[in-house]
Amino acid sequence: VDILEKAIAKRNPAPKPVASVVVLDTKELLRTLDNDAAVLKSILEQVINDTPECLLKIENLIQAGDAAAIRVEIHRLKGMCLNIGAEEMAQIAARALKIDKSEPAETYGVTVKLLIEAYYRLEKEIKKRK
Amino acid sequence: MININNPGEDKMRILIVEDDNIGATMLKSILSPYGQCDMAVTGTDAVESFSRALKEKKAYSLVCLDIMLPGMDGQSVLKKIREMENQNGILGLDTAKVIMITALGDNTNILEAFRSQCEAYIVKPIRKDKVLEQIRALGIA
Repeated sequence: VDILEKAIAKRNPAPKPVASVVVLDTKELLRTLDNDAAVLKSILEQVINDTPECLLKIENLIQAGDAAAIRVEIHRLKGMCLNIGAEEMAQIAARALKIDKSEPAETYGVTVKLLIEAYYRLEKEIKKRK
Repeated sequence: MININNPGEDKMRILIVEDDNIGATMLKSILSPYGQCDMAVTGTDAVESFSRALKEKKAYSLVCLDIMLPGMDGQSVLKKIREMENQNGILGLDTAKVIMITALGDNTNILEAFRSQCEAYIVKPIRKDKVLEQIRALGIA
C-alpha cells in the first residue's frame, strides 16, 4: 500500500492542505435561512449524517475504478460545502474537479484523504456549536 | 387573485430538482413563501413530476434545476421539459420559468442551458438574495 501511495503521489503530487482557510462560516447560510437557528441546526446535523457516507462512497468508487462517478460525488460534495460555508472542504473538492477527466480513479486517492481530514475539522467545528 | 374558498388552489407551483438534501432544504426555505414546493431528487423524478402536473392542468410556474443529477442530468431534463410543453401547446410566456442552480460555472454548461431555453442560471452557493433577485426579474415574485 505504501509503495502504491508513493507511486500515486509521485504521479499526481498531493495538493497542499488548504492553509488559513475557514473551516466553517455559516453567516451567509444563516442569512439565507432568515436567521432561523433551528433550520441551521438541522442542516448542520444533516451534514454530519450525510458526509461520512459520501466520503465512504468516494473511497469505494476509487476501489471500483469509476472516475466518472467519483467526479459526480465530489461535485455534489462541493455544492453542499459551498452552500453551508464549509470553505476548506469546498476548496479541496474544487481542486479535485480540476483533475483531467481522463485520469484514472486512483488519481483521486490523495484528494479523498484531504477531504477526510478536512471533514474531521468540520465535524469538530459543528459539534462545538451545539 | 387568491381563491378564498381554497387558498392553496391559486398558489404558484414550484418544482425543486436537487439531489443534495441540504441544497433542497435551503431552496424550499427560500421559495416556500412564494408557492407550493414539490421536490425531485433525480432527473427522471423531475420529468415524471412535470409530466404529471401538465396532465393534471396544474403546471409548474417555476422549476429550480440542478445540473449534476443521478441518471438523467439537468440539461437533459430542461430539454425534456421544453419538449413536453411544446407537445402540449404551451408556448411563449406560458412556459415554466426554469432557473438552473448548480456548482458548474463553466461557459459550456451555461451556454447549453440558455440554448435549451432556461431563463436564469445561478452558480452555487445557494443564497437567498441571488434566488430572489432572479425570480423577481422573471416577474414571478
